[in-house]
Order: sequence, then structure tokens, then C-alpha cells
Amino acid sequence: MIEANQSSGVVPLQPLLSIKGLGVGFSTGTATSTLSSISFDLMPGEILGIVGESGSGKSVTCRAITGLLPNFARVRGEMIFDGQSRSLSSPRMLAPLRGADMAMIFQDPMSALDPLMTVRRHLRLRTKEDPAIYLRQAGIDEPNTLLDTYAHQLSGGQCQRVAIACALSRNPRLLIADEPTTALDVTVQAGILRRLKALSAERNMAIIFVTHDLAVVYQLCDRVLVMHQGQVVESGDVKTVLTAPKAPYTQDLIRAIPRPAVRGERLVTVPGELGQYSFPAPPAIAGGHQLLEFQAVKVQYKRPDGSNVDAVKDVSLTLKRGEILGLVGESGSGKSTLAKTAVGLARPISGNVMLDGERLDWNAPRMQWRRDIQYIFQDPRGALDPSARILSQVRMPLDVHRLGEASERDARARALMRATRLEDALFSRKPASLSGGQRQRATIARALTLQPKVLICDESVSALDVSIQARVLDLLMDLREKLGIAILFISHDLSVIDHLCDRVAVMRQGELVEEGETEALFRQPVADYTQDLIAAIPRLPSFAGVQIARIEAMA
Amino acid sequence: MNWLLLRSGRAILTLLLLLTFTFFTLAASGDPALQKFSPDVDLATIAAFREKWGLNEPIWKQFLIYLERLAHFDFGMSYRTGRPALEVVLDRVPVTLSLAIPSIVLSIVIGIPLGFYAAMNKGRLADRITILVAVMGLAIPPFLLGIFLMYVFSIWLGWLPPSGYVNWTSYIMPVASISAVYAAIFARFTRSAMVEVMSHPMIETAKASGLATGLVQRVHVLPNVLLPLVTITALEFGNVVTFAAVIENLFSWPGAGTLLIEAVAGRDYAVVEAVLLLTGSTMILANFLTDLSYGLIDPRIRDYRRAYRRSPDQLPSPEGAA
Amino acid sequence: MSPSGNFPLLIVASFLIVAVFVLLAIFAAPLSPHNVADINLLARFRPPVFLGGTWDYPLGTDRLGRDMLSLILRGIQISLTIAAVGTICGAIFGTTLGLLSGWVGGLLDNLVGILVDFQATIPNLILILALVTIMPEANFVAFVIIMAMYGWDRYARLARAIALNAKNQPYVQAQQVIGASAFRIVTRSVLPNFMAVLLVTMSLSFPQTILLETTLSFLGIGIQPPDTSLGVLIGEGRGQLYNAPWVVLLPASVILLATISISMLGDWARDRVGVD
Repeated sequence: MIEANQSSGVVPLQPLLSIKGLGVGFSTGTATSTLSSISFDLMPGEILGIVGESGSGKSVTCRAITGLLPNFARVRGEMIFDGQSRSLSSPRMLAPLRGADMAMIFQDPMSALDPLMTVRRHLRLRTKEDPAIYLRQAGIDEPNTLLDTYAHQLSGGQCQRVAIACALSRNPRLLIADEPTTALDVTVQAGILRRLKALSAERNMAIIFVTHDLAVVYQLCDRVLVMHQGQVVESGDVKTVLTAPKAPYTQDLIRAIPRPAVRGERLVTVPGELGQYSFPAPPAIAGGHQLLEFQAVKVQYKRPDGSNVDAVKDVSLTLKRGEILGLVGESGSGKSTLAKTAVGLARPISGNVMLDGERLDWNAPRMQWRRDIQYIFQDPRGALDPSARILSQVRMPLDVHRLGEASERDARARALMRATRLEDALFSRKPASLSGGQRQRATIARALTLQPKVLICDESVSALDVSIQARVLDLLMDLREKLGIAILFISHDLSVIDHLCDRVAVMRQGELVEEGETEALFRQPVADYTQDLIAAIPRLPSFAGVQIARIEAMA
Repeated sequence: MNWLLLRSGRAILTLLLLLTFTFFTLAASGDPALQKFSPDVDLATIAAFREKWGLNEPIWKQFLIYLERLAHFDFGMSYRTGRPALEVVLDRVPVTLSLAIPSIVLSIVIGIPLGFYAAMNKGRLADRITILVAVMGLAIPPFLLGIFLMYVFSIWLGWLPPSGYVNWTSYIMPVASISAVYAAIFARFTRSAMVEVMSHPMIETAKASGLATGLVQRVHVLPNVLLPLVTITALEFGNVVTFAAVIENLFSWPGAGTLLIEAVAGRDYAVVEAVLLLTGSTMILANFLTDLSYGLIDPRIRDYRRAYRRSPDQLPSPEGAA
Repeated sequence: MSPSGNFPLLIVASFLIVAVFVLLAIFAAPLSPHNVADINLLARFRPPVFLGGTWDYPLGTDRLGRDMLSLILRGIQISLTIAAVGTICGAIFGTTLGLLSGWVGGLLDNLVGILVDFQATIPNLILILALVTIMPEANFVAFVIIMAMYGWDRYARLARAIALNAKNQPYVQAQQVIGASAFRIVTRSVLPNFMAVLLVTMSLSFPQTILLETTLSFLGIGIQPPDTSLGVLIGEGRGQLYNAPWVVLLPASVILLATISISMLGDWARDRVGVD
């Protein structure tokens, strides 16, 4: 610590790490997985964010620095670590640096630990000191209770903290973190980010933090490197890059981020993409104001030993005509389970689900209900049959419901796919050759073939890159406007909810915590849990609805 | 409910299924009365015999009588030898085991290290040659290998005794025929289990925090490969024994295998049934013990089993990401 | 998989060999120089051409003076047919049972589970020997059915896993939400996605079925003379290994060539599809 203070004094610092002309090529891969001439410096104790969408090369960069790329990767370039120059092209030269000089943590915390080994043993392999010290440093308050547990007995956040403790245990001067919080809930993420910031200051440890989330970068990092298709398109001080981006790509990226300041507006497209397709007029508004109503719905799951767990506990919720209702909650909150009762994928043990005043009884299902409510899943890859062509999958609902002649069905499916901006060339492809965004458009087109009144989107944009997510969000807004479809939008991402929804309901552990208009709920949350949740959202500087102070370095 | 109870129930059910199978195949193998007596015996004797053995009872009662008989280790008479079938079989078992045990030990000792070596050099020449040899090994039945060995070493070169038990060199060809094939199976299996473990993120994590490659292999890879290896060893043991039977026949060894083939060819069903029940119940027991050992190796399985006995609230939610 | 080339030389060669075997099996009769059953006691143990024999009997003759080439062609035909029919029957039986048990679940799943357990626990060969014992002698159809018994549990286990997994797949749930019937989902979505696994598994168990048939026939408890198969030829000739080795070694080599080629293809396909 004392040394750190001295070295951060007046004397101009020498960088801890300099990367010069890093390039990576894969002998079997495509151009997208190739890096070209990446160069940057990292000062001791500095936190550098590397941000980019999938395939931008950010993870490859980290693995090249730590020498963890597979054998068939061709690496070029030079690295100066602590004044010593090393060639990046030979992983063997880099191996001695791992551990005491640099350490790395990864995205999936559960599988970072050996399932057959206790936490204590993980740390014992790395250090002779008391393992509890490092667990405490990683933010585990009562380390001794955890020492003899296994990975499957821990939560995701705890696993990631154990992984951090393992990384810290040889006192590295550089920590490389590859999307370490992406798989975690937002409140857990906030805690880990705070801890990393503090660790960097305490130990004068530099951090390279890789993420797709610009807001996280703003919260945590001093400097940022924006990567796109294997190249650095922009770099500099975090505030400068995020508030006054120079590169067009960075500008596009920031514009695509959903935010309350432009609530209800299109992010990247002009309204009316759907205009080219003449939809039938929205069904005339008849009956009550309530379209989909959950009345004291209770759902139980059976455990392997036969006992029951309440996944949803007497939740009542109403979706009005033409509205977008956001349903927020962390993993295990029961939000998906609640929504699944509307389509018969989960059966309530008590309570009713009403559609347009009619009770949905899935023991005696009616085909009309299947047409009125459509469900869009999180993972667009999984939601499409890998072995069938896109066109036949989009047409499938019409086949199942025997609507129109075969040629009409084809025509309708084609028209909807064009309306959701899928090119004709893709129609006869199989899902594997489509991008994530294209797949999600296909599932939306499929859902629209039956002219539903209600669309349930279950984490439908969570797996997508920001720029693609923005297009899908724009499309959903178009659907509401053009077709008057009501949307139940389920997400763990409050920024997206804040941007898209008219009203929001918050769930936690199977119960409804709070419900209200988006603006009111985000500005003046009543429940403690909602307040915590909102405080934990990483936000960008000029877009913040509620001004949250940047996380300050604290012990 | 207790996991152990459930698992034992399953083992007993499998055993019952085996007994039902042998009972019905026994019934289908012909009328015991007609087998026992010559055609000129008078009908009264046959009727008395039927009465005594419960052959006039309803089928379920016959099954119970059958079970009771087995409980007294009465496996019926071998009509070819006129001795109790169990005795006939047990006489021959040591010879078979003396062939099967060295064979499986040798397969493991050769196959598993070979699989390790191939996985460590994944994609390189050594790996590809190992896979090639393993695939070929799988495609060669032990008896064919035995014939080729016999031709080369006994007939052509005249080095080894071609058949029967002469001295310890008699073991060489039979054991080699079985082990070559099973070493290939073990090598292939070990390699794919290793490759799977080595692609697990924990390996990259361990390397990233500076653990030496040798240490990573010792503490992470080996224990995680152990579970699938224990499973396959238990499963393949039964197959090794049966292939030992075929090899015995080829090399004219006086083992249970030769006996079994003779019994099948001579329709001596009591002997076949005794062999089937002996190997079957041994395998059921072996599988049961293997399953028990999982709990010792893997804490996840241990916890899952414990959960059967624990109060429900301590279980993690089955919901995953709701 | 090796990064070089999509079709390694060995795979091309294996494919060609398998293709030749299929052709030989189909055209066995017209290609045979002699009638399989023709006994010529004056021409016993003639050596093949390459061991100094004559072109009358290109691959020599056996102890009854029958033409080895014709016998081997007939053996290929019988052995491949039995293995193919056995494999296909086993695959259909196992897949149907596995899909049903995985999809329907409950009691059916438990029953199938116990059956699969049973089949996987008891060594197959001994189970089959027990069936052979009670089977009427020299019954071709019964023998094929017994072959189908071998390895059905593997398909059942794989199909069950696929069906169980599919029930939780969004693409299946999406169809349930739309209202597609279970039959439609299983036949049009689950089954096509199982096809690759099924074909690879079949190509891996096909050589095993050949080996089983030849082993049983070799032991004299499979195909019965006067009909023949590659295994019967080896079994009949084993006593002549000293004086007429070709009688044994020729059919043995043919079996090895066939099973190794098919296994190579199956193994290559497995790596491609990623089945285990």
C-alpha cells in the first residue's frame, strides 16, 4: 500500500502493461474472429474497460495477453509487462506471468470452480496463507462458513467471489475480468463491481474489465477501449468517450442503448417499418378494458423428493388493451412462471387467468386462446427448430390452425417476414445460419401470423447485442402502434423496461412487490426492494433518470 | 424417501425381471416332465411328477415355487451330465475368472493411460493414431483376433501352445485377444471423457490463476474423469466375462464359457439358466455398488441423495432462472 | 476432427469399401462362379490362385470342395442382411419406446427405465444365448429378432433423453403454445432432430451386430448349415487352420475389412455430429 502511494506520486509513471500491435488469426476461423493491430497502455492501479458486441474480439484480446488461446491461434505482437518485453506469439513465454503477475476471471462463475473440490481446497492450491483472508477481500463477509462448501451449494455471486479470491491469492498486479457479472443479477453485479473498484485502490492492482455494457464501464472504469470487428475504434477517458464519442460506431452504440430520456421513442429506426405490410385492422375494442388478467394466481413446483415449492404466490396482475406492461424481477422471482400460466405451459393450483373476460382453463383448452396469446422466448436460437427451414416454421401456426389455402399461408408468412425486415434470401435457410437478431425477428413473425391480441415477451431481447436489441425494441413499439397488440414484457433489465413500458410490475420470490406507471415507479419507488433494484442499475452519465453517483473507491 | 431404499428397490426389481425372464424361457424350453422321462413311461408316473413339482398349479404359483427353489440354490439338473446345474457351472467358474480378471486388468492398464496420452496430445499425430487403433480395435471381435494370433504364433511360428491349458504361456493368446479389444474401448472412452473435462471452464480458470499444467491435471482432470471411468469399468466387466466365454471356446479351455456354448448347442437349459442367473445377479450387484461409490466421489450426488432425507426447505429452487 | 480437408483419405477409402460390399451383397448370386451348394469331393482344399491354385476356384475350395469365392459372396450377403435388418429393427423398436417414455413420462417412463436397466445390466451375449437355447433350430426370422434385441436399449436411452430435453426446449414449447398436437411435435420436430444421432448410433452399432452374428455363427449356434454366413465359414473351417488356412483366414479378413470400414465411417460421423 505504501509503495503504491509512493509510486503514484509526482514521478511520471511507467505503464504496467503495454500491448503493441497485437494481432490474432485463427487458421480455421473466419475474418470476424481475427484481431488486427491492437495497442494500448495500462497504468498500475488503473481500470481499463474493453467494450464491444459479440465477435468484436474483446475476449480474444484478453486470452492473447494471458497466453490462453488455443494452439491453432496465430498471435502476433509484443507485450511489455513491468518493463520486461515479451513476444505475444509464444504462449509458453506468457505462462510464468499467470498467477503472481496477472490473473483472470471469467463469465460463468458456476463452472469456474471444480465441482468435486471444496472452496478451501481451491484456495489451498494457490496459497499457503489463511484462505479466509482472500475470501474476505473478495467481499465474502463470513468466509469460514463457506470454506467447506462446494460450488453447487453456492449462489452465482458467491461462486464469482470465490473465483476472485482465487485470482487474488497470489497477489497479482493485473486482474483481467471477462464479463464477470453478465450472468448475475443486477444487485449482485453492483456488489461485485463495488468490490473490484475497492480492490484496485487497496492493492494498486490494475484491472482490465471486458463487458458489452457501456453503463458498467462508466460505473467502474477509468479508461475505455471500444472494439468492433477485431479493431479498436475508439479509446480514451471514460467520461469523454461516453459523453462525446468521436467514432461513428461508438455513437451508434450509445444511441442504441435503451434509456428513459427517450422513453417510447425509436432507438435506431424510423417509426413505421411495418408500414409496408397491410395488416388487418386491429380488432375493435370490445368488452372490458382488461385484456389479460391474472387473479390471485398460485403455482407450485414439485421437487424430486415430492415436496412442493411455491413459485408464484397469489399474484394478481392486469394487462390492459394496447399497453406494454413490464414485469421485472431477478432470477427465481417467478416472473416467467406467472406468464407461462397464460399459455398453459404452467398450471396454477389456484386462482384464474382471464382473457377478455373468459377464464382460461387449460384442462379444456380452446384453439382460439392459442391464437389470441403468443409467447416469445428468450433464446431465439432455442425457439426455432434447428432442423426446419425458417419459412415453414413461420408458416407453422397457420398449418396447425388450418387457416387458408397452402399458397395463402405461404404468402402471409412471407409478407410478415418482410414486414419484420427479414430478407427473402433467408426464407429457405435453417436457423443456424441466421444471426441472433434475425432469429428473433423470425420468432416474432411467427407469433404475428395468428394476429394475436397479446404478445408475451419472456426476456426476448436479453440474449441480443445492444444494436440488435434496439431494433427489436423498435419493432415491438411499431407492433403496439400499428396493430394495437398488448405486450407483457418480462425482463431483468430495468433500463430496457424503463425505456419501453407504460407500466411496470416488480416481482420477488414469487410475490408481487410493487406495481405502477413506469415514470412514477422509477422516480419514487415505494418498496425497499424496488429501491435497491433501481439503485443497482448501472447508468450512463447524461441519460440517468435518477442521478446515481459513480461508485467511489471505498474499502 | 431414502435414496438407498429406492436404489435397492430398483436393483431388486431388475433381479425380479431377470428371474421372470429365466422362468418364462425355462417354461418355453419344453415340458420338464417329458425331458425327465423317456417316452415309454406310463402316464401315472408323469402325472405324479407333475403333481410333485407343482406343474398343474396356476402360473403365478409355479413362479413362486420356482423362486423358492432358487432360494435353496436349486437350479435344476443338467440333463447332459445328470448333476445339479449350479454345481456343474461353479466347477468351471475359476477357469473363466483366471482368464477374465487378467484380461480386464490388462485392458485397464493399457487402455486408460493410452486414452490419457491421446487426450493430452489432442489433434496431434499421437492422438489420431490412438483413435485409429481404438476404432479398429472396436471393430475386431476377440475371436477373430484369436484366430489370427493362433495362426501366426502357433501354426506359423510354433511358439505358443494352440489350445488347452499347457503352461502359463497358454494364457498369452487368450488374454491378448480380449485385452486388445477392451484396451481399445477403454482408450477411446478415457480420451473422450478427458477431452470433455479439459474443455470445462474450470481448467481455463485454473490455468489463468497460474496453476502448473501437471497440477491442474492431477487435481482437476483426474478426479473428474474418475466417475465416468468407474461406470464404464463396471459395465464392461460383464462383457469381458462373456467374451472370455467365446475365447475359451476357441482355445478349447475347460471354462464356464465352453460349458455354456455346449449347453446352448445341446439345449441343456438348466445350465444356461444357471450361468445367466449367476452373471446377471453379479452384474446387478456390481452396478449397485458402482452407484453407491458415486456418492463417495461426487459431492453433488451426495447432496442430491441426502436431499431425499432432508427437510424440503433446504433444497435449492428447481426453477433455475424464472 | 483434423483441420485439414473435409474428407480424409481414410474416410473416402472406407466409404468405397462399404459401397463395394453393398454391391457384392446385392449381386452375390450372379457374381458367383459356382453354385454355393455344389460339392466337388474331387476338388477338396484347392488353394487360392495367389497360393498356386487355378482360376477354376479363384479363392480355393473348402473341405467339401465348395468354391470359396461363391461361399464368401453368399456369406457377405447373409451377414450384411442379418446385421442390417437387426440394426434397423432394434433402432425402430428402441427409438419408439424411448420417445414415448421420454415424452409421456410417468409410469410408462418407469417401466421402460427398468427394461433398459435390465438390458444394460445383464451381459447381452448371455441373454441372447439363453434365447437361442429355447429358439427352434435354424430359424432365420427368430434369429433376426434376437439380433434386434441387441443394443435396442442404446436407442431407447438416447431417444428418451432427446424427448425429455425437447419438452423443455423453447422450440417445442413454442409449438405447444401455438396449439400443435403432441403427435405433430414429436414426428415433425423431435424425430428430425434425433435423426443425426440415430444414424450415427446405427452406423456405430451396425458393425457390432455383424460381429455378434459372426460370433454366434462361429460358435455353431447362429446361422445353421447348409445355409452359410461369414461366421459359419470360419466356424466350419477352424479345424483346417493347419492344412488349409485360407478357408478360415479369407472370410475372417472379409469380416475385418467390412467392420473396420463401417466403424471408421461411424466414428467420423460421430465426430461430425458430436454424439457420444
